[in-house]
Amino acid sequence: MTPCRSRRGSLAVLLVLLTLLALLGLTFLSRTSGERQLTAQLLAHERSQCVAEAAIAEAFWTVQKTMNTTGSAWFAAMRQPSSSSVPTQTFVPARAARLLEELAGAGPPVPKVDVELRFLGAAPLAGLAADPAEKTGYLQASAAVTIGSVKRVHRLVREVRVARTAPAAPLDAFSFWICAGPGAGALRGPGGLPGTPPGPHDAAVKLALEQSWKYSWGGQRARFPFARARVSEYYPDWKTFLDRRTDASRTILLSGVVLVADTADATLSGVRLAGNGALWVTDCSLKLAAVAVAKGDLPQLAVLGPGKKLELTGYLPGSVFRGSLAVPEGTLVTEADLTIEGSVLADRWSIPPNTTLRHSRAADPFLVTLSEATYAP
Amino acid sequence: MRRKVPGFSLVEVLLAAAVAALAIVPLAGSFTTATLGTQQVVQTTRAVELASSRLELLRGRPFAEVAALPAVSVLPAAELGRPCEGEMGRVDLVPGELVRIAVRVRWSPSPKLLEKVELATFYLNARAR
Repeated sequence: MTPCRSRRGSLAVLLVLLTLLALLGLTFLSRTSGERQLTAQLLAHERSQCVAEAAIAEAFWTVQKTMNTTGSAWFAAMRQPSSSSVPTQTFVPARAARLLEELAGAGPPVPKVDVELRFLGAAPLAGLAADPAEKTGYLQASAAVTIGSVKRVHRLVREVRVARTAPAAPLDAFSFWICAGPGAGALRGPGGLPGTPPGPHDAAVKLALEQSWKYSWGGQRARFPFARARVSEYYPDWKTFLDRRTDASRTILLSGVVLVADTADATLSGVRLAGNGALWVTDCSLKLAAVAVAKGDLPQLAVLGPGKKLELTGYLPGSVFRGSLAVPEGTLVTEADLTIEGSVLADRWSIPPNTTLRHSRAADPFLVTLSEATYAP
Repeated sequence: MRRKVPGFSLVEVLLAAAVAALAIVPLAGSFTTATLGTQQVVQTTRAVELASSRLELLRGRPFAEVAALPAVSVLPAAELGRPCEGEMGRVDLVPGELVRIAVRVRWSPSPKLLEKVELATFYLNARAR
């Protein structure tokens, strides 16, 4: 081997080694760069998914809030018994857009989020207490999150049930519930509504309806023939009821079925009941203090809340109260020496001395005590 | 008479070493950068997974539970691992109806650097009216 060839050979070896090292370094760098890109994509994907969920939650919330507003996109759709068309609405959820800006930066390019909701497959809700306008269906939500040139679309479908949450007129209020199911996730809601068979979410359903419409499906023990279709007038509180129903001579006119949904206990004192209508109280106790009944009339008074009381007090010995009293899940309290002309339906009644019951009409049931009727000493 | 011995002169060796050093030093730097980058990627991925799993845990919960979370809660260190610290925050957007839950995971790859991953979403009270 000549010195010249040896030098060239060594130089070649050195160059090969350096080249290999350089390639190895480049491979490492490109691998790291690839990993970074993948991580950035993972982060962007998770962010956009979170924002999409937030946007859909906000869109559902918007529907809940606006569906009872005349002129809103869902006003008609939620009231028709079923719909051949597919109601669709596009939202730009403001809060979710701000969230996206916080997570992904304000740009440029400006990130944006859009949601489209479609109400599909509306079908009447089956069940005893179902209103014709109540229905099941599916809300299909598509949320598109755009950051720069990348647009990610998340879609989900949720089974929803639409129910009337107040009598038809004048409130005409509806609401929808998102049913639980696989992947219901953040949007999980009660699993059913009145009229549907009890399921694993029965407790959640009752809880959901407790606020304003507890007895939509007949009460906890179904002991009272409560049918919301019979309710002709609804009052959220006693003040409204008294303001609208009491005339100048302090007479409360009961016509049809009047429902008061106040949660505060009430005392009616020094008034007179007139008419053959019914007063149904869902969430509180009611005390009638020496309340008179117009001659010939037979009002029906029902206190429906579990454990609530209907109390007749302040009557002189030998007084007669004409009317039907119903406390199917609570307690009836009356005074001694009182005659009740009508029917009584009560879960508990400690009957005071010298209480007299008599028929108002021969066909009416006379006395039904459901759990306990005792005679007070 | 001196016999010519085949091999490299000192100058040649020094020159070759200098050339090799010039090439190897940046290459070694690239290896270091790549290693640090990989560590960073691993940490970021872990932080994303942690934040995502935290939000995932809440998805199956009733709204009342989500709404009852404290405004700020520190995530357990055991769950995060040593280099990370994290917290979860709740903001009532519409009280009783819509809340925002954010999860932040932070870590310091070097004393002067603070990295963080934040994920946030909204939770809807499906029965609110």
